Amino acid sequence: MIATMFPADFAYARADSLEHALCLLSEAQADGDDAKLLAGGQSLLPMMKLRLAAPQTLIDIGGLTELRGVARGADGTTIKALTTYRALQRDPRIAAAFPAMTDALAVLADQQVRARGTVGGCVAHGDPAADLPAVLLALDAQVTLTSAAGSRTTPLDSFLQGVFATDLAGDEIVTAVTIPASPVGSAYEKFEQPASHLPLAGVCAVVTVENQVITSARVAVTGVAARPFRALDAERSLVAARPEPDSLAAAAAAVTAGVRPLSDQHASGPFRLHLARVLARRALERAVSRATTVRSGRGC
Amino acid sequence: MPGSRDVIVEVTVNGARHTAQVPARTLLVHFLRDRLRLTGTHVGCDTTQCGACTVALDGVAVKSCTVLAAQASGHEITTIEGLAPAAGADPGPGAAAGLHPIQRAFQQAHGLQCGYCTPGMVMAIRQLLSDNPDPSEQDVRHGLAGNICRCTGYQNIVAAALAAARQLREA
Amino acid sequence: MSAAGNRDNLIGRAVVRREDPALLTGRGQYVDDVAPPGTLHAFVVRSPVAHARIVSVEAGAARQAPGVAAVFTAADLAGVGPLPGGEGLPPGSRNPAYPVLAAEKVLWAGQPVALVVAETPELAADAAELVAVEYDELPAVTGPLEAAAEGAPLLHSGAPDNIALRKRIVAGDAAAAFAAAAHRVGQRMVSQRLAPVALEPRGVLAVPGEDGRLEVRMSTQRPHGARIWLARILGLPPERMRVVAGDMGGGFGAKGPVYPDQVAVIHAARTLGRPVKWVEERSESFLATTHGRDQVADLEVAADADGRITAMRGTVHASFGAYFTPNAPGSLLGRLGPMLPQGYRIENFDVELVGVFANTTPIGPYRGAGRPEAAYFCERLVDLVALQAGLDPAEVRRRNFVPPADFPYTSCTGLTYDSGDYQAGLDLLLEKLSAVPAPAVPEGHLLGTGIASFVEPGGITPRIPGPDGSVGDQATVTVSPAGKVTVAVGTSGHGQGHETAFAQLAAGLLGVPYEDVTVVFGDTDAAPFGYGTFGSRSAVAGGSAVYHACQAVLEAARRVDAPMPVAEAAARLGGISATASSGAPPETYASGSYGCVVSVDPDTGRVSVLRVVAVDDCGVVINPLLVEGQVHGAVAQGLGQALTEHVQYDAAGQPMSASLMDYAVPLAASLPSIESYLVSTPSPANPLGVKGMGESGTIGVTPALVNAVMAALRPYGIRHLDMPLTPEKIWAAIQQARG
Repeated sequence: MIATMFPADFAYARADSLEHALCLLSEAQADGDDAKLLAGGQSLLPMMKLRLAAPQTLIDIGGLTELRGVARGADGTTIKALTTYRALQRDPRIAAAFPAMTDALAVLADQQVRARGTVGGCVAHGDPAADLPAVLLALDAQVTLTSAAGSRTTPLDSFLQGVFATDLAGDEIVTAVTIPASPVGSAYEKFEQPASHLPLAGVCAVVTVENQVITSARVAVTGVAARPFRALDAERSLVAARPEPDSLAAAAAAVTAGVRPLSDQHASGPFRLHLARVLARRALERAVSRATTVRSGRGC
Repeated sequence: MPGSRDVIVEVTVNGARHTAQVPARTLLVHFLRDRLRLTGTHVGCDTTQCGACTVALDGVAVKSCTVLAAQASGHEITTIEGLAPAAGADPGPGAAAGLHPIQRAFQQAHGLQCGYCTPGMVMAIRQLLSDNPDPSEQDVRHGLAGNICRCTGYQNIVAAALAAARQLREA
Repeated sequence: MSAAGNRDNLIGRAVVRREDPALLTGRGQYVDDVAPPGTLHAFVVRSPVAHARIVSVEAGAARQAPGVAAVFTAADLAGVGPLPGGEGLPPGSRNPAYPVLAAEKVLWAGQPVALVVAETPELAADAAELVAVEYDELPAVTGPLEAAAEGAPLLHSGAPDNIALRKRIVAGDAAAAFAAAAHRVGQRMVSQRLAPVALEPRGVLAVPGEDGRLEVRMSTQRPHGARIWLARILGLPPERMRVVAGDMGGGFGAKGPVYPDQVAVIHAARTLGRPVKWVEERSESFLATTHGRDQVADLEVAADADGRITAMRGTVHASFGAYFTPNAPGSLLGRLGPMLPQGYRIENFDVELVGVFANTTPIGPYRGAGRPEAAYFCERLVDLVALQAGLDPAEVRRRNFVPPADFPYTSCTGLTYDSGDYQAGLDLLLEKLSAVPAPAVPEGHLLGTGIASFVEPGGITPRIPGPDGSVGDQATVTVSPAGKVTVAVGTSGHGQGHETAFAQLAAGLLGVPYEDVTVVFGDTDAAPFGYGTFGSRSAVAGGSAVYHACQAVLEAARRVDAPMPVAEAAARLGGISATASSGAPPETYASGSYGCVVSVDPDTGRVSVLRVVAVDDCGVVINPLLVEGQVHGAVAQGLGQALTEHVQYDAAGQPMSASLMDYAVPLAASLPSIESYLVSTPSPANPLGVKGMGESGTIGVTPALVNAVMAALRPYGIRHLDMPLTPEKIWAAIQQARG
């Protein structure tokens, strides 16, 4: 293996429509090609430069305007796959509805990477230590996958499978991520690895508080295990609890129950688990505060 | 197999149109440096960390080491060489002519030493100030997460960014 | 304008840099920016393993690959090399031959084994994948203590215990002082391995000229030194070679030596008769460019009941990596060891320095090069003395400082400090620290303040004669009949602002307008001999040379019958030119006191640096803008060592931090705004009164930061933690303290 900043040679095809992209993908599959879709390239190109990935064919879908944009509908907010982090960060609807996402976007990589990186690319990449999957998991996002045969929608939780492993079939393209509407408070907390900016632990908490009682709660953790995961024990302990420090702390302490942590030179497994618990408490406190602020704000 | 190993790249760089055939794997930074001989855009790393290669793509700062030249085809690029309106005048020892306000602020504040990160820093700060014309010191520091300088401790880079912001607001 | 008046106006003034407009507009000319037609591109095949016997190297397939001009292996390099070994070694040292390309064994992951030369960099990289090297792997050892231990894997047959050198520095009677001491304080301390990370990686472009002369553009801090070394390694007369540094993207010591990859590239260009360029990639740089630090100190000090330190003793183990680079021994023998007493009157001393070889990237000078380590070890011990004696750390320093009346002062280790007022610097620091109330921090976070005082030797002149047989850096000052002045100097700046500073100096000394002075360096054809720029030497040595050359020009101008400005004299005389040498001016001893205020989040172990206050004394200041710029950058690097930077290897010697995704250099958001102040005790050792100061920030801030964190952690009874002070390390220590 030679580390270099030059990707290995490949063939490049630019898709000019979703249909064209699917056609190119089928064609490559039929030829037995190792083909990869190129969206913003902020995850794939670095891996290709280090020759950790060497696809034979790149199908560039970056120009497909039909896969860009945010729309709100009956089933929630749909973020089309090629929407960049930058576009999301600047969308006031996102900031108003999903403050946790705005939290995450502010600390995700850097402004140049955010200008190119896309939501669909992030989801399809299956990185165990990406920020956004934690937020999308906690927001109960659904992933829409499109192939020549049609579209299917699957919960992100079942789409993510392991380290760089997802439920994406060879002939499919991630075309959108949909977040159901819900009047909630949300927050994302991150402890970053200082060189890569990736989270050693990142926790997103999403709660609904009604009449001083937590009526729904979702907590998702990234950077800690082989894939971002929902902390179901913690979630269960929150429902019907009062949004007070003790119950939040107890829930935070439960986010790592049964988790087999990652461990590397940047953080040991026990430290990652500890960080997840600390961040969970902080995220829950802020999410509760936002949930109650939203409600009292409505009263005015 | 779909696609081709060579691609035609048509880009507008600093206002001038260029067309060239290059291997598909050519990175935008190498296209700018080796093909167009615009060597002000630098390469300081191979993992998209250092930001020395920052250019504007359709007006938005990106890392040109993590964009294929093919992806930039059909788009507009601004590099450090194209930032100042008129770079012709010979700069004297004091405040130099032919400099963009950010560049001038860098000189006034001693915001560069070896100068290698500087073009990327200037292009990143241009984006930062376009998104937030009145940033705090902390806004600038956090906004530069994608740019590494090993000489200045960032102190005078931050000072230059704040001074340039003031000047651009008043302009 | 009178000369004196102009001098007052220019020297010491914050003139903005004349270097900047070109660099700011993308018109810099770094090595990789130069591309003569027909240039071939090289890729270096490196060992993927830390320690192995080479069974075979098969390059046939690579030679047949598209676009490949040649592949070089050790077998193709007969008569080239070896590289220069260590310089200034004590008797009994081992100095193994450092090959250009490995032939029999590889000794670190990253050692060059072959060079592929092709029409494009991409094709060279592709072909490099086809070079098949079979390795018979051997156990590896990476740490200085482990390498020195009995039974460790051995690197060099000529060094049967991995010991590269030993030197014991003894003064007075340490044993007696320890026996009589009221306090004895000892600590094992690690100054961990660091990567310099100049933002421009190393590079070289070798262009064979039609006249048979070889032009070598390379990112080097020492163009003349590189020319001499390269000529010797390649078996060429030096005058057949020109070395041009051009613009340089930083060096920090690592661009001082010549490297095996550069030699191979130059050899390829000579052999192929075409320009060949190679520029290191960042991840490659973490393996191929020298690292710094990597020492373990077991040191102890003795103090009387009042906290007066009477003795220091112990052992410092220092790794040199797989091979010596020329200046690496000097950093240990001439800096780290002798500077351990810092600015304190310590009369009894017994420290052994042990240098070892290990299966890691070779060590070279990195900003400070022995000075930061000495100050770190000493200043941690001083704080531990204060802790044990129940005294204020500032008071302990006050009681031990060499007083102003004792200068010139000869340390027990034999160094002569030129001048200083250490107490004045510390007093100003304390005043500035206390002028601002303690910052507000989140509830439960721990606040800590730490200080460190230090002495920085600078301006070393190697005792190696130049081509004319004399020792010294030269400067040539030429005044044209039109009154335009050219200053060519043998030091070789690379980001420090020498064009501006030397122009200020010459304009001030000659009494000519600043705008009329042009400064030239970094080109062996255009600049006279000099040792280059490293070790905080350029203001002292280059500045002295410029001073003497300007004096010679003024002397010549005075020979005109009537007193007149130098430009008019030059017009009368048809121009004036003089070359002068710095000779070997004595080293200067800058000093300073630094303070840090930190907060620690006990839940995560994260350290926030709230304040850095730097007080520096570097004598006469030529340009305060440049001095403060040096302080800022060095402080950032020093904080990097204290908090995040660490080159790590696994048990097999595989690098674990060989990219900027894994090796954390400071970013803008991780640093506070640095508060920098200057005090001045001019140096009597050179005509300008200047002292070298380019490394002071790395020397002062590292111990100040660690002392601050240890002060913050005092409620937990934590006495010492090794750098880098990562959140996990602090969290784990707090967990342990809480039981």
